[in-house]
Amino acid sequence: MRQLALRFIVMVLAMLPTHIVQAAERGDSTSLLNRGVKLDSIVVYGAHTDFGVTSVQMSAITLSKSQIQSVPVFMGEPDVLKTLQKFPGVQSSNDGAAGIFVRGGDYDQNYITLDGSALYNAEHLKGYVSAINPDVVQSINFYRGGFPARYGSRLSSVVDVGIKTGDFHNYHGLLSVGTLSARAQIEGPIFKGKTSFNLAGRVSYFGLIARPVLKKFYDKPDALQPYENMRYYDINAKVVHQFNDRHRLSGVFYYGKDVDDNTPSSSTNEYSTLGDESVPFDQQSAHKEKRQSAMSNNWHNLVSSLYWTARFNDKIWLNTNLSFSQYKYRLTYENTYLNDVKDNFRPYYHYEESSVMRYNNDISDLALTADAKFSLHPRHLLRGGIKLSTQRLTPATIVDKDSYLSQFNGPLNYSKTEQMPIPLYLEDGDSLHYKSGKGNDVNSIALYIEDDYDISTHFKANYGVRIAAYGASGKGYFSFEPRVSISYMPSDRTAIKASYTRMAQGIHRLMSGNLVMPSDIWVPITNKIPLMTSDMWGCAFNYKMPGDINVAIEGYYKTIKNVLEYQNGASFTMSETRWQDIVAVGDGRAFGAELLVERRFGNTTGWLSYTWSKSLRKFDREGNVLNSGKEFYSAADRRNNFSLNITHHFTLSRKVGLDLTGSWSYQTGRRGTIPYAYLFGYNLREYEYLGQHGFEQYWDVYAGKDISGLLTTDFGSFTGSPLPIYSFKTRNDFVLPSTHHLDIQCVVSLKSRLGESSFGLSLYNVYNRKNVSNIYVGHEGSKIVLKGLCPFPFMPSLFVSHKF
Amino acid sequence: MTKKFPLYYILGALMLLASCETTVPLDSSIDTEYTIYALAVAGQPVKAHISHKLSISMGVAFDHLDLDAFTKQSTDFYKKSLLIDDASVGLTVNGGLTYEMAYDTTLCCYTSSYTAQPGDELRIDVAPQVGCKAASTVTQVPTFAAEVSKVAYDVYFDQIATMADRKWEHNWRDYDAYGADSLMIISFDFQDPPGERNYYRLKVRSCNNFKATSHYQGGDSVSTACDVFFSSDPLFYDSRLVKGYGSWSPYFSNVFDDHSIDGKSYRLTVRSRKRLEPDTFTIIEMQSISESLFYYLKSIQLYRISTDDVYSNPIAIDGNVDDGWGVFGALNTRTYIIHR
Repeated sequence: MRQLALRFIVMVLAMLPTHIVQAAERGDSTSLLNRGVKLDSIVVYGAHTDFGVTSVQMSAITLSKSQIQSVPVFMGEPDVLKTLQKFPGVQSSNDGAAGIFVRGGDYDQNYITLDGSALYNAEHLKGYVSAINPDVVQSINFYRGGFPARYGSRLSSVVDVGIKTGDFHNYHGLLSVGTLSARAQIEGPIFKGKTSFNLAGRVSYFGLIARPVLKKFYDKPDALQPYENMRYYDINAKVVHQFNDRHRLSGVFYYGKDVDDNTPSSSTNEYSTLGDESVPFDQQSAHKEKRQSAMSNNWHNLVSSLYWTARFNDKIWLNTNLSFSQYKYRLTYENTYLNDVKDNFRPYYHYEESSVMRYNNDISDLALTADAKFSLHPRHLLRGGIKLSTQRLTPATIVDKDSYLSQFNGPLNYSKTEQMPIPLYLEDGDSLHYKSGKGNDVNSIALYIEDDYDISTHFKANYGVRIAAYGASGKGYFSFEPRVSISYMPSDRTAIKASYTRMAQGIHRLMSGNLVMPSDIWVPITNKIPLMTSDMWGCAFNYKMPGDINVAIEGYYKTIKNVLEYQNGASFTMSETRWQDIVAVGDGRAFGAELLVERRFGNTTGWLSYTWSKSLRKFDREGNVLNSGKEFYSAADRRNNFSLNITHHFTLSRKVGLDLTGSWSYQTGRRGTIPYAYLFGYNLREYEYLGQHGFEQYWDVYAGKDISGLLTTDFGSFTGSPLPIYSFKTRNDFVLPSTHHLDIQCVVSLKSRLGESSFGLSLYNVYNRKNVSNIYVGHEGSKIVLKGLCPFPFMPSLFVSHKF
Repeated sequence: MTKKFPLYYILGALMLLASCETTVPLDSSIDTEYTIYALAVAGQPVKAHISHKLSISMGVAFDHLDLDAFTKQSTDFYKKSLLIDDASVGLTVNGGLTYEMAYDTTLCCYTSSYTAQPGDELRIDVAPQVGCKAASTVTQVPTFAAEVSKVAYDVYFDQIATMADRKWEHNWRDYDAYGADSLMIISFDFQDPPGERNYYRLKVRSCNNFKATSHYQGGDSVSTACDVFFSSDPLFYDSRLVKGYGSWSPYFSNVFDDHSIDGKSYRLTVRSRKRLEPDTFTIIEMQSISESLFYYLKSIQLYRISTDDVYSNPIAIDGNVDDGWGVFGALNTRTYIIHR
């Protein structure tokens, strides 16, 4: 029956004019309704774009809104990026995080767009929720390989989010209240049949709910401090004006803001051994120390675009988009420190220090694109376009630090000492005001042309080329990016595909591999930091099984040039030097195999996904050596990634439905770097001035009586005092425990005259697996251990929504 | 407030059952690995320190001590508890003969009867013990020692005030402020062999020998030395050393490779302290070092200036020990002495 229904749809669409068929392909039911074609008694399931057996495209999926909403996630919040993580080749940075890492690439290598405009930070709540509001999503096309030439500027993936056009004739909306956030969405006509709007917003109250609860139950409340006062909101708007059947003007706006103001923490440490006979006289002292610190971490994203869609005739289309995106990141630390000391030689010592450190990262991106499509021949669909863009990236460090010292060294009680100290009063102050970083512009122009070519019944190809030129810091870079995908279909159920793509990227996101406090900052290419490029080869086997089950098996091998990492010991907080001097440029490679078994239609839907992959880095260029120039695993390396998601729809009555979803995910643990070993090393003997100690300068001198000792070359061995060292063997060699969790979601839908209400219960991590997200050094009794923070234990959550 | 929101109770009760922290296990196999610090200097016996290592938990405990106590106690602890004096250690030369290395209680290290020769490929094997698995490490003694030639120098006496104005010196604190020191500017040539990458460590040691006053060891003759020097030659520039260590200047490293001077004769100019006592001399050594020693020394130089910043990438101390930790380095050197 279902087969018949689908055939019927196809037949209906085949009889309709082309522009209506295109509207149907876009899922734009309102256009169909406008023309009196009412299809609401038939549900059109699944993909808007078919990347299966019949398509030449490999390594791509299309994600529907219903798929996003069916996946149970953190606190019941539907999440676009977390849904993507359940597909092959995609993994999260850590448990519960929304950020995606695709086929061994880093986070910055994903091009996330809202109706074609770049979104730089697609995360809220320190990455635990994605910034894309699913309520406004029309569909998502996700490419992780075999990139057509129309896509560029990132190496690893394209997340092409289509924002839903508002209804031109009727008003609809949605209200939803969950444990994490409240959401509202409304759409409808501004001028009936001509202009529509779609407006949505979300506001979280995570801190309000979670803070008092979490604080009670964590072993170390301080470890939770960065999480307990987080909140976000975001707004989406889209306005579309339809001049006629051929011309349409759309405006898209997105603004999202994250606020994370930590409660200031303070500690006081006070002790005295003055007068304690058990302590030697010259070691008796009294100390009072007070520290206070506060941190705030805020960011905002802005995406705005205006685009004109024109269909000149049935063979030529043009889309012109002017967009502006902005990302601002602010991290501020405020510290004060007071120290008072007394001892038997120094009756008065007072030191105070206050500092404010600000780390800012701004990106502004202005782009103009024109994409044309030509259907001039039945076997060819030509596309061509141009993109002009200018990006300004400003990573900046601002430090204000003031200190004051006053002390008096004087006779207090020197009757027990042989040597009388010289009375001395000292007062000293120091002030540091420092600002580093300036705007770096990256200007680029990219041209592309591609052709979808139906060679024969069994062969298809998509080939093209993208040519891009970049200008940054007075230096030009040129990128020639050929793209080829071919498909051979021995039968209508089977396809064998292969692809080769070269991609280039003009910006980097520097990520710390530190597992205790990861950090990241966006930086541009410069005259010293070259363009990042990748070459990827892939092959795929697609099979459409009976019962509408699609199977896809893929393999890939990718090389990356000019990838960027922090040098050992470096961080973005280093104010002494420019960021370009603390990074290393190197290469990488990644390879893997992927399996996807998917059923999109019917009462029981879902998918099984498995990825085996490796991702490696090698930094062996002059002045850029890491890990002694030997290859090491990248932070994005995860060996196994498995996900099983099944949803069953129960029709309880004509008006009541129930969707039950079970999802189990498994990922090899996250890689990172932590100095887990404590050992004693040596240096070759060097006699050196080691600075001041108290009031006396001292030299590390050879003071032997035998001068010949100085002539012996380093004594033929490592000498001197052994150096206590915290170390590790290889960068990213510490692997956190594997993560896995079973999530269940149950949603009851009730239809009424007022609309459709949904009541949901989501059970996250049903068997309470302690999945570690971050680690810190903690205590277990008197023993010092590595503690793992597991922010997502078993978490039940409720949500209610109403569509009208 | 919680009374108004029973949801808190529900969530709280459920999350109480679900403790939100866990102890992350460390790979216990690393506790069974040896630490080897060995050096092969051409013309000298090979020496090796062999010890246990600890997991981070034991190391962190030392952080609660102050600097002096930490230094004293950690060294004592190392010598008493970590240093291994009964290991079975063999030195294999060029894949052939194996020499047993004996423990020297004075030097606290194992010494071979074999004297390292330029070009030797040397392998140290440490046999497994209870609680420790076997470890091995290989190094090659550099085939040549760069010869220092055409040495020229100037001495500037008693110019402390001028030095404080930083007229000559990048980091005037390199020189003590007692008015007795002076500056020595030394230039010399050395020849880098063409071909494969060569690694160097330059040592410029200013020494003296004086009849000490009563303050120093009752009037005995005492020798002093300082290895700190400075040069503005780009060969020594290391962008990672953003801070100075002791009186070593920022961005300065005396360990470098030949990537910018491959196969050339190169003239270097360095500045060192020069003491005024009559029996003074300066030793110049352009040491050819093995690749593993180069990376090891570079990482140590970076490590010693690192700060305890939670955002920083940790620093790996490079090494070349299989199934263990540490480094087996090699160097070949000639000494040039300026007597004055």
